[in-house]
This record gives sequence, C-alpha cells and structure tokens, in this order.
Amino acid sequence: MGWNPFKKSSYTAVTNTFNSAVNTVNNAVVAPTTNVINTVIRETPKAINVAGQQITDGAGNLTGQAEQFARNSINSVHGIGVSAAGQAKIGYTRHGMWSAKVADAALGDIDAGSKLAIRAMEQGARAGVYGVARGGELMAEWVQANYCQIGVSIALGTVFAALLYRPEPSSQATTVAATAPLSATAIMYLAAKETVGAVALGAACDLTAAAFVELIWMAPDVRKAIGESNKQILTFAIAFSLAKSFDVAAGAMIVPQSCAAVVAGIVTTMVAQLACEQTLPNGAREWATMGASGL
Amino acid sequence: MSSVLHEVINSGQPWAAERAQYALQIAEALQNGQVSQDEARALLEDLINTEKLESAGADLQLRAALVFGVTQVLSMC
Repeated sequence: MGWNPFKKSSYTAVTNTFNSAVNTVNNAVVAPTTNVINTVIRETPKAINVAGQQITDGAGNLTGQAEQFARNSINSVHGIGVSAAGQAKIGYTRHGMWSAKVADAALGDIDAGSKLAIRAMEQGARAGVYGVARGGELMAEWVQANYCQIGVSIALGTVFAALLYRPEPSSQATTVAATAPLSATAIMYLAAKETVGAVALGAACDLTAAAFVELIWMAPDVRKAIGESNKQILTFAIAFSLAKSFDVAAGAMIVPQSCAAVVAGIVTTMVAQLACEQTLPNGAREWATMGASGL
Repeated sequence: MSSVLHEVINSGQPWAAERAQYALQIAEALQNGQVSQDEARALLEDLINTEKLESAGADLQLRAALVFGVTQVLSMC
C-alpha cells in the first residue's frame, strides 16, 4: 500500500501490531464503546410517539410517520420570520444550489437549513454577529456581495449535489453515515428533551460540523476564500447553529435525507456569511470555549 | 457502522480503499485497547485531512463516503 497513517513517526511503536491485522480488516466489527454519542444511540427509547405520531418502531427503526413528522418540522421552520436581508441570503443559497443541480427534493430542506442559520445570527440571547479577520482570498468574481453569496452556494452545491437525495444505495448509505450522530441525538431529544445533556448534544453537533467542513474543504474556491486560519471557527459556528436549531428543528433531523439537506443549508449559509461578509454569529465564539453548555 | 467503509474498500479506487481499510484497522485497534482514543482520533482525522486528499481522486461521492464513514468511527473516540 502506498500511504499508511501508521507510519506517522509518533505511532511507529504500534505499527507492527497493526501489520498483522491487515488481512483481517474486512472482518472488523466495531463494537459500541462508552462514548457519548453511542451512549445516546444505545439509550434511545423504542417506539417513540411524538405529538400523536409514532416515529420509531419497537426495534428503534424510523417509521413511515417519521418522514411526515420531519416534513412537518421543516414546514414549521419555513414559517419562522427573519429579516429581509436574511431572506435574501436564503434566496441566494437556493439559487446557487439549483444552479449546481442539487436534487429538487433537497431544495426546500436546504431553505430550512439556511433559515436556521440566519435565525442563529438574528434571534435569541446571542443574536448578532462579530467580525472575523479575513483568512483567505475571494476569487475575483465573488467580490461583489450578491455574486459572492451565489458563487459560494454554487461551489458548495456542486459538492452537495453528489450527496443529497441521490437514488443510489451507496449514496444513501453515505447520507445515513453523515447524519447518524445528529439523527440519533434528535430522536433522543424528541423522546425526552431533558435526557440529552449538553455534552452529548455538543458532541453530535461538533462531529457533524467537522465532517461537513472537511467535505466542503474539497471545493478549492471555498477553501481559498475561508482560509485555513478560519476553518476551526467556521466549524464552531456551524456546530453552534446546529445546536441552536434543535428546539425548532429536531424533527427535521430524524430522517437522514432531510437532516443532511438541512445541515447543508446551514453550512452553506454560514460559509457564505464568513466568506462574503467576514462575520459569524456571536454564539460561535462562546461555543469555542463552552460548547453546548453555553446555550 | 462500517458498511460505508466496506463500500469504499470495494470501490476499486486505491486512494480511498486504502484509507477506508486503515480506518477499520484503527477502529479494531481502539476496540482492542491497542491505541488510546486520542491516538485513534489523531490517526482518523489524518485519514480525511483534505490537504492529503487533494491530489487523490475527484469522485465526490466516494470522498463523501470516506469522510463520513471515517467520521462514524471518529464518533467512538
């Protein structure tokens, strides 16, 4: 094999141990551990009934009603009022996603995610944004504000089009993997809000945010616009927005397809905010030091 | 848990398959107590470090499968 992480100098001591495992790797089975997310998943109650709809069956699997429950949650997010400027950003995001040929079925969910990101900046105890030093460089076509919003959305739409609402089973499996921490936490939250502690909620949001940021870092223009120095604070801003959205949008996060699209909307809006306006929600700074416990 | 990574291994794309294999190895090593959670996390994060993926294949779906499959393993750390 050409590239081996175990050859990193700091881990040479364990390299020999792993070499013997190469031939058995395909049989590896990952057992549950004591981490907080797996704990959430393991302790998720079965046959959950929320507002008269059974969203999981006796085995803990999502039911047919879960899809409708998620749809209702997304519709309620559409009803949230935001500023005219915020509404315009939602429109830019949608236009960019449509231009990038993201599946039509995903666009409404992305709108909802975009609105949740705007809400995280405009409403609540930590409403407002703060200035962030520019960490990168905008491509020339993005210098004008409206083009920047659309340009970022097109660039990220190209990435998300390969993931969202795709018919291929392999793509659906990827979506399930992408949203597993958040979906499990959302189900637990809906079942018994008080049992989801700040640590578990924060871990799910941090993990999801980090994975999506790593994914979008594949878009060269976006990476260049944000800059390596602002990658971490962008991740915090997305994690904060996800956590802040739970009170109104947990239902939208229980179904992998809609969850991934909502997260994509949050991610895109937050990336555009940072790239085009050099600001992020106030809550992102607090998240950096306190995580979800600061909410 | 590992179904996405197994799909990546079977993709026929060496740049992705190798990383997916190592991710499963790390998961197994973590399970067996051969590495600490911090060590496993560092190794896994390195596997999906975009800078190192940059020169690899351009298949976005495969990249997404790798990133999110490894992230699932990361959730154990």
